[in-house]
Amino acid sequence: MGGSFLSLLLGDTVTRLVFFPTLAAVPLLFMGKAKPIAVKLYALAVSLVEIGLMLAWTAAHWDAAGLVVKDPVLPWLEMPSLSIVYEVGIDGISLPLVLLTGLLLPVVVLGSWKGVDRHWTGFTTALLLLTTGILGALVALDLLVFYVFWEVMLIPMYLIIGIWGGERRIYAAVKFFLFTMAGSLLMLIGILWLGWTYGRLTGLWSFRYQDLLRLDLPVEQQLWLFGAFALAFAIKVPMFPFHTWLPDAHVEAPTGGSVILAGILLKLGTYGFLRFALPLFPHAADRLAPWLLGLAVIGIVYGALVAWVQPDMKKLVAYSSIAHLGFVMLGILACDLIAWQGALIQMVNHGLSTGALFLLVGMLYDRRHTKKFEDFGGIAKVVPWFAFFLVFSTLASVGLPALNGFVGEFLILVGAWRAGLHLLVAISTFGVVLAAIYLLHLLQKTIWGPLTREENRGLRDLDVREVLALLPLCVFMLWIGVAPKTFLEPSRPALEAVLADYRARLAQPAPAAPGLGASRNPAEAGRSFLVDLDAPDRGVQP
Amino acid sequence: MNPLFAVPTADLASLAPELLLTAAATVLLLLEAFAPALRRAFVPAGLAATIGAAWLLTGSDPGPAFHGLVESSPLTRAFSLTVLLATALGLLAAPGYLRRARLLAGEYPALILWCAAGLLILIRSTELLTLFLALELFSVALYALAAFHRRSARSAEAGLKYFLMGAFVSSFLLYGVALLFGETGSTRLDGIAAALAAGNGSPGLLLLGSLLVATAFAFKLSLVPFHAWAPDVYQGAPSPFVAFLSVAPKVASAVVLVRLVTLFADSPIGGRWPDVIALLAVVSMLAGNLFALVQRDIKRMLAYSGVAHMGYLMIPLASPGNAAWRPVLVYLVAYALMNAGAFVVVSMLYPSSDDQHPIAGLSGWGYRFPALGICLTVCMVSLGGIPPTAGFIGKYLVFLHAIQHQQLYLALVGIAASLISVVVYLRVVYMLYMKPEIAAPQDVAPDFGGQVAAVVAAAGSLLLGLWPALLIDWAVASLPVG
Amino acid sequence: MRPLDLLWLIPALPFAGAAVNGLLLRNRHKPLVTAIGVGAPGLSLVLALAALWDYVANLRPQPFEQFLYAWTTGSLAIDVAFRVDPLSAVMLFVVTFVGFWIHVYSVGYMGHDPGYRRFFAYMNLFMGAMLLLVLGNNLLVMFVGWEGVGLCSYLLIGYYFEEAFPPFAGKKAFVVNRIGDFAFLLGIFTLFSEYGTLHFGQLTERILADPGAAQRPFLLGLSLAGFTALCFFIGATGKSAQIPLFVWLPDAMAGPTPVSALIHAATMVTAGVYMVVRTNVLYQMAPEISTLVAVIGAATAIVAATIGLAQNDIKKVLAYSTVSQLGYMFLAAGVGAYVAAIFHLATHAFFKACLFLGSGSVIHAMGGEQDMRKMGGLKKQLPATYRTFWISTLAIAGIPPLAGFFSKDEILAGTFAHPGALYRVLWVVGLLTAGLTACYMFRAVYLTFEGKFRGSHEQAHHLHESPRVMTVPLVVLATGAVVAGWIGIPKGVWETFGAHDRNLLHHFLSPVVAEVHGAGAEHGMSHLVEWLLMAASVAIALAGIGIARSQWKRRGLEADAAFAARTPVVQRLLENKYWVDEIYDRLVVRPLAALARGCWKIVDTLIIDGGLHVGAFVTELTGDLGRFTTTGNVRQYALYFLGGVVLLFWWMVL
Repeated sequence: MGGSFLSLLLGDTVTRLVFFPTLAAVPLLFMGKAKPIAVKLYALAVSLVEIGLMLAWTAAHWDAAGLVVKDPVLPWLEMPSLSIVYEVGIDGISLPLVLLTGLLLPVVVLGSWKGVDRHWTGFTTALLLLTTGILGALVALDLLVFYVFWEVMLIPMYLIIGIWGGERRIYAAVKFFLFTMAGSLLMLIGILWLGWTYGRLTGLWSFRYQDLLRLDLPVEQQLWLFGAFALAFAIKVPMFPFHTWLPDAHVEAPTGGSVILAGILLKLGTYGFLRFALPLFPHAADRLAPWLLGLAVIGIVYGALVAWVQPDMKKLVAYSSIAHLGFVMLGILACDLIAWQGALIQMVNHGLSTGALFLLVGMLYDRRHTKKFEDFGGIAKVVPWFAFFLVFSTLASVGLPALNGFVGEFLILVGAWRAGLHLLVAISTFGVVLAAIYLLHLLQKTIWGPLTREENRGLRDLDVREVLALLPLCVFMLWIGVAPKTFLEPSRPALEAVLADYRARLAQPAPAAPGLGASRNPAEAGRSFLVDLDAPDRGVQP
Repeated sequence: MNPLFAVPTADLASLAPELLLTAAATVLLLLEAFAPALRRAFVPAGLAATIGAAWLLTGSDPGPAFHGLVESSPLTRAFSLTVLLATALGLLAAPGYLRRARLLAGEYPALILWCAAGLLILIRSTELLTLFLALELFSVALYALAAFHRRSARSAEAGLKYFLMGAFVSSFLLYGVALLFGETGSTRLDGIAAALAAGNGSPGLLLLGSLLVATAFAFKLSLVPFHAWAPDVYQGAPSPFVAFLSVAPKVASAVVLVRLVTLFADSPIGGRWPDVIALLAVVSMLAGNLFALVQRDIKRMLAYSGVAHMGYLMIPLASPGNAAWRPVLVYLVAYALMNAGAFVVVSMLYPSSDDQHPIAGLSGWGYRFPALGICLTVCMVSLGGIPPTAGFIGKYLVFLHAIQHQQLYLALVGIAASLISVVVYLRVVYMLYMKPEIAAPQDVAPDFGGQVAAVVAAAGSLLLGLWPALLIDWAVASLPVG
Repeated sequence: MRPLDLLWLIPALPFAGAAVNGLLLRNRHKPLVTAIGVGAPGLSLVLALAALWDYVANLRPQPFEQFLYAWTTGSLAIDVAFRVDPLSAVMLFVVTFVGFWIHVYSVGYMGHDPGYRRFFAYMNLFMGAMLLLVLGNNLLVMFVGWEGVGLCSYLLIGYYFEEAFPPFAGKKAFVVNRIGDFAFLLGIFTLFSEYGTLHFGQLTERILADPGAAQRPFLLGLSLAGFTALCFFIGATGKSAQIPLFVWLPDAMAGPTPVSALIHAATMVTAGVYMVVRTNVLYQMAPEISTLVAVIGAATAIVAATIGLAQNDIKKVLAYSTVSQLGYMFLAAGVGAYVAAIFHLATHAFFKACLFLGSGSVIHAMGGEQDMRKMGGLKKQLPATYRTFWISTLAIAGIPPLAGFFSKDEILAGTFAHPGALYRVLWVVGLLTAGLTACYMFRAVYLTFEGKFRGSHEQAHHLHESPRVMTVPLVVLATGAVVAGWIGIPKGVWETFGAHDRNLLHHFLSPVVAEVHGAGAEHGMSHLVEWLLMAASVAIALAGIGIARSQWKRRGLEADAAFAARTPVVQRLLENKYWVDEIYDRLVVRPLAALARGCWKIVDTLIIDGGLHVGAFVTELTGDLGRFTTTGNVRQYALYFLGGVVLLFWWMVL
């Protein structure tokens, strides 16, 4: 495998996108003595190269059909009758998140410039490994490979929170680790069980997504498998009541860590639902959807309410994430195309607006070393540009039309309403009101009103670096809000295919014993989103 | 007429690795007596002997020897190589520590080599008395090594405790052998198998015999409730030796246990064996990690974590059969790397003089010793079974085996236990990197050999996690496919 | 290229102006700021007039649509596109015209304000959003504008952000509006999921195509049309400050006076009325909701009017009068007199804007003083302001032939004509409100301009008429307040004088009102009745003026005192605005906050995390107990071993 993997690594492939950060981390092992500034610049350069690679890849390989673009499959762990393949590819569902990851990487580096005050080599290494983990999990098309990447994310994030975090950082880091681990271990068992079942039916083990999609399982088996997956993802999202790790993690994590955490890590939970939990176990998903929907909506209202009474800016934003991701979950579980489009774009939106908010809070923290509301108030006069960006990001996350947040929420709610979830949508829409309450509360307490603290009189306004970190985010917030089509279209075919497949499988009753469904040849059942590009009949929609 | 001593050269050839090790050991001992000036060269020489033995092993051709008292097969070869790997790591790490402890002497490598020889024979022996002899051969060496730190009362205590328990257990083993022989009329495993199949002998006595024999090895594997010696011995004995002690004997004993359990479980009387093993596995996994959770001394912590790992190792045995070999072998290789690695680092980061090894002592040293810090971290992550490390591959195969044989509950207990263990191992990591340094290191000098050993172990754990095919293919090639 | 093709520029220009002023220029570029800040809406006005002329001359009554780009495609296909039809045409004119003159006025009023640039940026942004709202050809674009104006309202109310209250008032306005928007959104969702489009034209067609479908039971025991209509109306109550969501508007007076004139009198607050008329087809199909609209409108009208009677802050008086007048408009919409609603909307825009600007000029002269108790006798120093203010007051009081008379009269007539006893009651309420309006407005006039000055010396010292740049807009708007009504002189009047009906507005707007069987039918009543109704409203208006004159012209504040002495309860009730704010605070805000704290402290911290910590502790404890097994005593270890073997053996042979 080694050789061929190397060729993948060097070729213009998804693999290169995933592992370039890791490669770039190798020199850091020998930069232990280097000056921080050198490391920072190196990190910045690497992140820019990475996003460059991504854009180049997208330009070269992406096609409007929005079907998956795969690397050649490599054996990863081979045994007679049991083989795990290394299979990665990008489709319309993962593309936006992959690009978001790329966008946030340089932003994070810039945002951590001052906040991270020691061990920059270590920080950069952790960041780059984390990126590999995230990207890998996003592009993995083999469940075990997915699991490996999923877990790979843990250690670097644990270190980032634990080393560069606040006072209670260790508690927060361990809490984060244990919550995630608790969920994912069960998922591992579920994955193994799936692979084994497939092996029993075909005589050949496989963890490949497209193979496992063929499994038609009895409802009760689906139920506990879905449970195992759903738990792992629900913790990551996080859904009420598995959310308590998040505020701690966010409050303690350094700015960059929070941005990555809120920006992408949480999305892997929702992504997991969309990519694995629902398509693999349609009947169970259908059966349990009401409960999960309930939790999602509770999350929306609950997160909003609790955010409102936080004394700490970062905690407010953290709880707001719970509310926002509640919307995403609502969209996903509504199982409606519009809602799914909304959910997907909302994942990106949340990454942008919440990322920006965390950056801004971090910028205040860099200056005053506090995140408490009581230490601010009325600083708009002193730091007008900060105020501008804060208002902008806040409004985006309030869901003001013509900014990105609205697009996601609108699509999700329209879709869910169309799917007949009237009461839930009504409650969630009320969550939009609450969003206005707590986010304007944030503005009220920080920038408006008379200047409350003398020490804030001398506050520095944003410098060029900080503006550069915020600008890309704001540009996209506006762009998505004004012309969402550009961002929605690439994903639609993939979503349509998944949804069609999901509905098709839901249409037939679950078998009494595990069986093999139709092959994933696009000609049959709608699994066209997994066809290799070189397949002749790609693009055939069910 | 026949020559006075007629040993077929084929038999000798098949025994070559063991002979080499024993010879080397003897020579080293003599040199210690007559040419102590060469001391510096002793450990390297021992290392050379180990590598030579490994080379001979790979060259040896399979088949029985000495009228089938020992056999050699790709399988035994694989496990033997694992033992030698541990031996090499143990030796590599030794000199620095010994020099610091002013213990640099020929006996150390000699004893280690003897021990290795005993283990190799144990792996290969297919007959109970040979088995017993091999056990005694390496056990005696281990007792001596455990007490090797002359000036440390703890070390002496460790040696004594280990010796007492060992002797006690050997007597059980011997009694078990006697029972089995008495009931089946054979000490050869195949003979016993045949007799059992034929239904000779009183089931009760056979059960007792088999149980006594098996528990002796359960003791070596420090499975609960036969584990109690481990923490005390590990804590007292010289750290580089513990790197060896905590791995090599376990590899060999595991092999024997797999043989025995498979044998008994297949027999008419063996119906309960899988349950027994499952019980041991569950108890060891949970108790091991729970006890490790509250240890403040890193060596005791690792001792208990070892208990837990042996518990995981037992999961495949709970459904005995040839299929069990693969997960066992892979898990042991992973374990050898990560556990030996951990102890190697410990042997360098804690003064040889004192016998306390508080985890908190490592606070902030991740920055003072970057390389060692990373190595220890990797080993901890691997011990925690988190990808992309060898530890994960091991756990993966073990759980897979459980699921494959409808023993979901074992897998579930397994993950519950690993959740606890994660806390244990993360504690070390956050001491290394997230706590401010509390004490500048004294009498702590990472030496070249030790660092090489640490890096090898860590890199190995990582490599096998990233590219398991390396290990698996090799394992598969050498295993009877179940 | 015809003028209408430049339609998109009309909102685009103010947006551009906002961007340039807000992001590119600095405070020191004041002349440039002014040029852009006033120029952009000016240009829009010119373009709007051209476009309107083009439309009226060539296209009327067919709507003109301009497609810009697709916002989304696929199963949810929404375009960003504009629509000019009679309704949006009227709105377009009102918004651009009044808006422009208020911008001009602001040059003077805000001249010395340090935030001059920011102010114009916000104002232009508002113009852009408001035009989006008005021109949008589908509910989404309309909603974008709807929220956009809300945002600007938030920013402009909180314009003096260095004081404590304005930002708070802004927040209150935004949140209360959001509560309305919540319902608005639900309405949009419903229409989309039932009809698959948000385009006004298509919606009307599809609804009319199958009235049965629209009237089938949907949610909350309402028909589909009813539910949607209710949602939209709730949205309107938020934006247009109707009961129960009117509480934000009085506080909104914390913003600069031109803002109050533009946003909180002339344009934004009337968006709700515009929306209801826009979707009148739904209301025609849901009589029960129309009734609700009428009742709420009437109730708001009279409640606000009564409160206005007891306010001492000149802007507060105007604020409540705005609420009250908006109530009239909803009353009109409720009784199916949609044209009348828009008519009153237009006339009100003129005289209320003029009134606000007038009050601004007064406040300007008084050095920021807003309390009428400190004013008095200003007509000498501020003649222009006084005259325009007086004219507008007559207009709002409903004195013929000024604008307010015709529009208000048409509303009352429509109410009266509507069958059903309830509507007679509403008519009476409307009539009373007319009287009250005249009364409290003239109270304001007298307290401000008549009698002797009650302010401090230095205030008296620098009393002065405002500069030209401020008085000219006053004059323009006052003119509007006089003539604006003449486009809607009722049919009856014409016919009585033997002329044929020249009720221009009616003919112009009628195509907007969808023809639904058995609803919104043209009310037929004899000319005599019409004349009598006019007489009644004029009479009551005069009565109101009379009372005001007798009470306040001479005695000024003593009248208030006497009133308070006579009916202390009523007085306090009115002064405290019926304690609505307090009630909301007790019933909604505080419980919600308590709930939030409960979720945080109890659910999160205590239950969830507490549980986890207990679990962790128990685990540790188990481990600790286990520690006692390893005592270091070898005998014990041997015992474990023996015990283990025995137990296992026992278990095996079992």
